Amino acid sequence: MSPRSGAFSPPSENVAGAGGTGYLALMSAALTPEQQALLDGARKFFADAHPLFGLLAFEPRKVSRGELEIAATLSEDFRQLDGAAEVHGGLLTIILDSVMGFSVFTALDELKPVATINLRSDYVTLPQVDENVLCTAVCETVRDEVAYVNGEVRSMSGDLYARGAGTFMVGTRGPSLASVAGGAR
Amino acid sequence: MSADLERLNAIIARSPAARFLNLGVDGDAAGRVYRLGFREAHIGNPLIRALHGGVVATFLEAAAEIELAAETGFARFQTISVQIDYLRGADAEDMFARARLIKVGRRVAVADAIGWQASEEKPVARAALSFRMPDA
Repeated sequence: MSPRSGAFSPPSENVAGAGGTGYLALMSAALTPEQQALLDGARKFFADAHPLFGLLAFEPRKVSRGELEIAATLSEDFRQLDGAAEVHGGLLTIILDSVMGFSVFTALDELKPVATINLRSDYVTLPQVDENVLCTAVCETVRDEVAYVNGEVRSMSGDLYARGAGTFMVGTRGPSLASVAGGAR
Repeated sequence: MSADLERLNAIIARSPAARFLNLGVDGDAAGRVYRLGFREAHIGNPLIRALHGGVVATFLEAAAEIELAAETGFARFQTISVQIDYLRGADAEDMFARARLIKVGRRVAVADAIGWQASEEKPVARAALSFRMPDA
């Protein structure tokens, strides 16, 4: 399995919508105080300690129970070939796995470690380097410690780039996100 | 290095995404072996220093793409779908993979790939992939 911790990096200024600190208000309206503390702690931690998510400039746009929308900027590092305009499709799987996994946290009553069991990604169109995209994920249900999640990556104007469907194991061994946030353990 | 591996590594060198993966290809008696050379940017969970699942998936996808390039002579394919199963945690170290072409059709190719770290007998992940073939 692929254990995760999820990440929120600081919001960038160049994405329309809930930029700046506005996303914190969105989170506060949707999450419990414990979840809010966790997400704030994770955001601070990964802003300094997570090179991969730093490359993608993840910016939470909407958060509610079991649902998450993240804006990301497609880094030059993932260009498919020198001289090509498009990113490698694997970047879409990296984004889907990250956002879909984090949506599981928002669906849980008690925060626990989560690991990807499997993930299917369908690539419809490859976006271009430096493009801003939106990734939405919905944790449909959690049953018998398995979370069932769907996700999409779209352009800012709504064109579908990729869709994902995956399952995630809840309550795996290893450090929980609570230890990242310094909250309840 | 054989001409085959030299050509494949030349294809890899032209791809920024492959450079992000620190991707390489070598060979042994059983066929081509692909390598993800560990970098800090591959980490998904800094707390336990595990590779990001999406990076693992991208590595297996790239291995299958290069295998397809080796067998068909084309250098670039459009991936249709990637289905990956994660079998155990991937540590912060190099990872290896073999890819196998199940069917190469006129319009679609189907492949699978399996990745491991310490031992090929203990795979970390396996992937099933489909690709849209370029117009001849």
